[in-house]
Amino acid sequence: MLKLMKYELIKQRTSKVIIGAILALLEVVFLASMLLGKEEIMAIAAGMLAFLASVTFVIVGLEEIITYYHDIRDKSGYMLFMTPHNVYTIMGSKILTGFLSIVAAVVVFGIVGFADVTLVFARYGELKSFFNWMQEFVSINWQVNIDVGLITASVIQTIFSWVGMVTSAFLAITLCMTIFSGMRVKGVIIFVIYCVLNIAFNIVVVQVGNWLDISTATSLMAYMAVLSVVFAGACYAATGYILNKELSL
Amino acid sequence: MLDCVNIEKRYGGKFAVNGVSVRIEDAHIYGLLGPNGSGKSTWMKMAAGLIVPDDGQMTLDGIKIGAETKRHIAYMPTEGYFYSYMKIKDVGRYYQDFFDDFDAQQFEKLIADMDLEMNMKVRNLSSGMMAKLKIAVTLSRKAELYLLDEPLNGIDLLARDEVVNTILTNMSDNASVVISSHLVEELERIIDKAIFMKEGQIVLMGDVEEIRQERGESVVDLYRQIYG
Repeated sequence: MLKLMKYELIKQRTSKVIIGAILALLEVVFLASMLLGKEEIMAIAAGMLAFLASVTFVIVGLEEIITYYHDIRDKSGYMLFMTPHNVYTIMGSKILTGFLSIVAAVVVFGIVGFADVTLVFARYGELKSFFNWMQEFVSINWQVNIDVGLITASVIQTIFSWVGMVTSAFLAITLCMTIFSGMRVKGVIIFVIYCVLNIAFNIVVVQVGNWLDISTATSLMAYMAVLSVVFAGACYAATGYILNKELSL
Repeated sequence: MLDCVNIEKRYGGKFAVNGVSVRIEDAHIYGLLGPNGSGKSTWMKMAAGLIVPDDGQMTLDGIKIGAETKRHIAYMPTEGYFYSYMKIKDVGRYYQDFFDDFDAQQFEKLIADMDLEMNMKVRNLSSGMMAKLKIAVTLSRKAELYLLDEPLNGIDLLARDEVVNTILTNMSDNASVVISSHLVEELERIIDKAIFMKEGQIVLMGDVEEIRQERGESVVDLYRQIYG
């Protein structure tokens, strides 16, 4: 499986190299402008860093999905499916590669973000007071305490939610390229199946959530993370089952 | 070696392969003959574990075709199938990573013999070069069974001779080769067993020499009779 993951990473390295280069460039601009006291440029760089972090989630996910689409549609799919691995291992390697990629992105952006915020607080003490005021404001108005536990739960929930979305896209593509292979406008069909899967999942999340007594934001995040894992697991199992029965390169 | 019993595959209600039963034995070169659409490629893909039959049984040495049998069967698709980012040396590394029976030295030798270079980009190869690369990487495996789908398609006469000679001189001992083609003239001189497919079914199969003696006809003549 490690070798499958190695080649998944090689296939998807271009976007990661570009994101890494942009991140390095923006960070240099941010630090240089802070040192030189150019606060406007620093603010722009900080905003772009935050934008890059959120865009990275989308780009890494899209590249995972597009790579799978090519693997199942193009002749290069032989390279993947002729290896002596069953479809569950192949799909597992794809999902695990995506999971590790997004965790790596969270770690890198987390470290960069933490370092930048620490530097900013050290240089501009009044910003720390503003941040503390924001925390109190949220706590009083929405009874949500922004602490390490909530931030950790939110990050974990976001990661598993991302995995669920990517895995459901794999299932949508698999259904379109196998059971619905005779139909035209494949892109539209994939999108419709993807929407149906995710809307159904969100209905389940809301319905089950209504039965449970979820009192804190942290437990809400944990609940959503667990359901995302279940959703991703179900999509993975269904994708493997269909590929096993219907794969036709 | 490879046993197929009553294999069926349908696409949209139409049979691509219909009730095929065949036994591929050790140390023979089989010609899988028939025009386009006769079911040759579908049968090969099922034997290679890339398509699951709708019905019937397919085993290699008693093991159901699947992930395990891919270790022992070297399949070569008819199309160029390498990742476009790869150089020829990357193709060799890929096979070395996934197939224990891959011989990297043999691969280097075959690449040199075929006037290819390790640093050539796969996406820049001509169809003749691509055909040679596919053969080189497939025959660098010490497999039990080689499945070569239309290895002579789209290449000139000289390249065909080169590919045929490479197959004859590099297949591992005791292994069998199944070569699908509709270019019967080229195949007749190298195969010792022939399987004729038509509309998803085997219409004739047997030893090439016996066919010649019993019927007094060449494989090419027989091909014309069956499909003409």
